[in-house]
Amino acid sequence: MPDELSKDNLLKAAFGFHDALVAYAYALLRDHALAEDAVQSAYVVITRKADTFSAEKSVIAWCRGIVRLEVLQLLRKTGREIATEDALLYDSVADSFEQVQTPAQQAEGGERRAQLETCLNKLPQRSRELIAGRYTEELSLSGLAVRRKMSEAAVRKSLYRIRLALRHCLENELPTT
Amino acid sequence: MMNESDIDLFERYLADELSAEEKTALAQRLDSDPEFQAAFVGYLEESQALRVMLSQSKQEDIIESPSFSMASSPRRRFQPLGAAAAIGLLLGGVMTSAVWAYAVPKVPKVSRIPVPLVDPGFEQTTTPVSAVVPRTLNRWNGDPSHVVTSGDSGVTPKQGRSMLKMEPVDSRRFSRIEQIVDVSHLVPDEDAAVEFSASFFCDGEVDRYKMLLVLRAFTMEAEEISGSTEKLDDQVTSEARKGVVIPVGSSDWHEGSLRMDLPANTKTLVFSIVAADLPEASAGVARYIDEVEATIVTAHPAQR
Repeated sequence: MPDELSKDNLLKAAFGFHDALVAYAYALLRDHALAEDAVQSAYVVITRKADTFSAEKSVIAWCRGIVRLEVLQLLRKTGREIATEDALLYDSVADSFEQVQTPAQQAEGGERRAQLETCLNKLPQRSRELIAGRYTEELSLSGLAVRRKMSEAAVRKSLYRIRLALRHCLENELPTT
Repeated sequence: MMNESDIDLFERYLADELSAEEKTALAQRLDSDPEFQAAFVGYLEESQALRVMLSQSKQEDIIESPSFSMASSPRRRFQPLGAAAAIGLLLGGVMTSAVWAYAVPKVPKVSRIPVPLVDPGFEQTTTPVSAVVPRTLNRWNGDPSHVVTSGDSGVTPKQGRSMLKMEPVDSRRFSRIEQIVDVSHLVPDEDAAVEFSASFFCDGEVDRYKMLLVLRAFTMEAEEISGSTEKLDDQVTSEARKGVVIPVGSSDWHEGSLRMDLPANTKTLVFSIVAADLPEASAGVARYIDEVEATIVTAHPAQR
């Protein structure tokens, strides 16, 4: 990160990482509404502390550190303290994001997202409805099974196939679902 | 390439449906398999992207529908507020940029204040290390561990003549040491962070080694903590963890470090180092710690 990074550029960059930070918070909290809460609170801190940003660190790593503190506070507030045995997995999950979510990886994010949108639009309507139920209404597998009049195993399989089709499409193959 | 069982594992992790053994296995794969690690993060990022895209498309459908007033609201209760807040903050940042350009230095000058850890290189600690409770300030406490020299161990210390050798603990999968430090005179009222680092060496034949740095901040006075035996988790005002995975067969020292923002009024810090995942198979594995360091970083040094 260049030394002359100004506050507004720093904030622009930080807000550009919104989805990456929500994914990180969700991985730790496993509750999407709480993850959004954590990231929103983190942005308040990020804005307040923008002038203390150290150019030695990448913006995404700095933001992630702040999100992590908000996640820990939320876990305490909601009485969901991490048991010591679970802490090792929690730590591995956090480390994975630290290793993978690099500035270079995030720089490719915009292009990948546009491609994902194209791929999403190629999916059959029924598949789109199924993943919409899963990701926007956050229905459980059993909830989706009831709605779609399918078995839970069939829903699980369908979701897997859709995700795989999106993966294939992202690798320049046509969706197969 | 991600397979069905990986996706199933990710989804069951997110639904908190994994058994203790599956959690351990997931942690081990994340620590040791970079491709799997990338697949896990990619899966979560992709899920978030899908959530946003589908939510936007649903909102467009609702607006275009003549019966939109009867449609159910999307569950993403913070999306509009978050977007509004983000835009507001961003606009505020941009509009004040001209002022910022003149009013503040581009990179704030910071002071680095060493935290007065006692015996950070394990040169004076007497062994075995004292137990964690009752808590005692300004010395290393913890599970059974011994100060050793290269003559005792065949391992050359990272610095000085000696280092700490952590011993496995019966009936637990981890062992730890910690030091409680009074920092009330060092922490300014705002904008301070602490950096914590240590060096690790592992000797033995198991499939992975993992060490953790854990830092916790308290607004309790150090004297209140000293002598206590009860759990203090409720009193923690901030906490950070950092894992260090050491490659199998490595014959080098590895440094781990973390940085944590300090809440205002922090009076006490507890620096912990944990040897994680101590399976029975690692009974013959020795883990060494040396060169522990901690520094408070601030643009506003405390005036006390």
